[in-house]
Amino acid sequence: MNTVKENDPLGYLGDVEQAMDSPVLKSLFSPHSQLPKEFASTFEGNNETKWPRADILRISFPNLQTEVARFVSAVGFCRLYGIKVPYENAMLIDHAWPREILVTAVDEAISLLKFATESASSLPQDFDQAEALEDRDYCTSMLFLMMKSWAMFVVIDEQYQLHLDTVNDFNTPFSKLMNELFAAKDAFDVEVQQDEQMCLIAVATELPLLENWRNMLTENYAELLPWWLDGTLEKIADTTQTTIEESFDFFAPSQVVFGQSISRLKDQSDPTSHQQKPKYPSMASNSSEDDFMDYWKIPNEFNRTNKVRFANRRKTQTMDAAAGKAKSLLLDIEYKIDGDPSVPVRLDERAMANGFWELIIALGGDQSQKYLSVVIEFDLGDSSFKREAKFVLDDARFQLTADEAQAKIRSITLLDSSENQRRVIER
Amino acid sequence: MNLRSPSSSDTEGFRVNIEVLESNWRKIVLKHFSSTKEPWRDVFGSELVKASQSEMCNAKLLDALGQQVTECLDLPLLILYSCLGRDYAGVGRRWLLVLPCGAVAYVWEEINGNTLRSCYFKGTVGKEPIGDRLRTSIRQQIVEFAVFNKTTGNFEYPELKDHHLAGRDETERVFSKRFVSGGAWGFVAETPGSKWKLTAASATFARTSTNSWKES
Repeated sequence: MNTVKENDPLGYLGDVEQAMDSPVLKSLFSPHSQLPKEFASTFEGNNETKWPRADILRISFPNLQTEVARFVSAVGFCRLYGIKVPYENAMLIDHAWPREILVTAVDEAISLLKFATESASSLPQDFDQAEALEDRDYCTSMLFLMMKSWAMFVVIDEQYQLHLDTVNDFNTPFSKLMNELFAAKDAFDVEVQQDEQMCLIAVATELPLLENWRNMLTENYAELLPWWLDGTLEKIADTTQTTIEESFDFFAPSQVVFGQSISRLKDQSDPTSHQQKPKYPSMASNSSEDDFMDYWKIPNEFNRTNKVRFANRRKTQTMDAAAGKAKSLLLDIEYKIDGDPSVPVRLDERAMANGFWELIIALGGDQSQKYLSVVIEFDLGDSSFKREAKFVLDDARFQLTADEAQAKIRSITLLDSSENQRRVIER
Repeated sequence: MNLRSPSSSDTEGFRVNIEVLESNWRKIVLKHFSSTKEPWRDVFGSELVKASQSEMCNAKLLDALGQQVTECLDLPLLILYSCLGRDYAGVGRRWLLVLPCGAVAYVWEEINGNTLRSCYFKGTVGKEPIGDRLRTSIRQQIVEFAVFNKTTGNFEYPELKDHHLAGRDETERVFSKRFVSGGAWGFVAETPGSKWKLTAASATFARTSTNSWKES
């Protein structure tokens, strides 16, 4: 038996009351419910074959979807968190609901799961293309979708058990609806539990979110936690962190910290895949006698959609010697100035608009690193061209025509105009 | 836009400007306003959203978004961020704004001004009925960043501490949260350990208050 609580810090009881006060639910829960004539013929009587269709319900009761969605998820969260529903509403909620509500509830839950499945499918891409912090929101969004689907499922299943107690038959219209719901849930689970999606969702472990949910659950549900609350994500986060740190060692002297694809990093850290055949060319320093210059070889192409952050966590003697001067590491494109602190850099690309592609090089760090110019030499095969831009705040922006956007980067040169230092990355 | 600064606790507040760079605006329009997953048509109307796709710098749409941001800052209804390596005193902070429509917006404080970097509906918010989106959005922010005390059964204002971002060489500090005050949404005070307060009336407040934002 669930322990019930009076406390409702997130205000779900307000949602329950609002939904139950709505004319449509009031009418349907009423023992004297009068259905529209054109509608009644579709499911009259107790005949189990006469259940209303969701599409007809949507037409007949325009507000039903909204109110049922609010009602079912709010009651679901009350169940999960053990929030006591006031007696007058509990009397209705705890007993079998009208079929219109059940059909709509299942329909809404399926709709939510389909939305969640699409979101899970596009999560890696959305994450890669997002701004900082927005990327994490994509990850936590998945968790909010999962919690809401769980809440809705708990209540629908409760109603289904009541239904089975009555009919003692698994071949009813309600059973068929439940099969559709299970199918939608399975499709979502398949999509969201892919390695890359799981790694990204595990980013949420840096927030109090998961622990909050665990603490809010009532005993009944806390005993058998769903996979996103049972510690799986924490383990994945730990494993990912270890994997990344191992990849740092491999890519010494500097390391990739976080890229667009964690699964890709995992592939790289697989000893059978990368130690014999490095994905990227080894880098060699051509450091000159000029203290202000340092050269590193880079691959001659980069993936414009990459978002790469990097930092220098492990200093070699060489790096130490060069501290305070220009220093770089390239994996796809990576850049590092000075030994410490870390400098996140991002190569980004915005969607084509108005005939131009925008290439953005973002340079993080403190203000002293923001008064630089960057010159990029682009290679078009039979010709080349250079573009220069200043870092305005932490972004240097290049507008490229569609033809120019096909070019590979030949070299990147950073110029520190204030101290006339020249820092070059070239191949 | 001449807006109330979220950095001031003064009710008059400092005034700040927020700029929307063309590149950010383009991204917001193409990635979010045009997305079928996000209900921007409910906020700005179908015609305005549709027009933005052919006319990128649609002034009416920009004004409409500005109105949302203004309302948010006048509440205030937001969370502030910072990252280590940034200057806690000002430069480098990120503001997370919860807009009246339920969407969130990120504003970055930078040397030359404040820029609106992104704006979108998060999680289940876009799937909620119009009147429930703000409430859902705030719930999400609370569950994400406040700390639920199992003993008291309430959310508490988290201690001011840095936490390391998983897989990234960054540390984040959420150093201020403010929501509507006055017995509705919000923490009692911006002090560690203060309790999240949500009265029964506040549920109604969030549903009906889009035209009556007031701090008491």
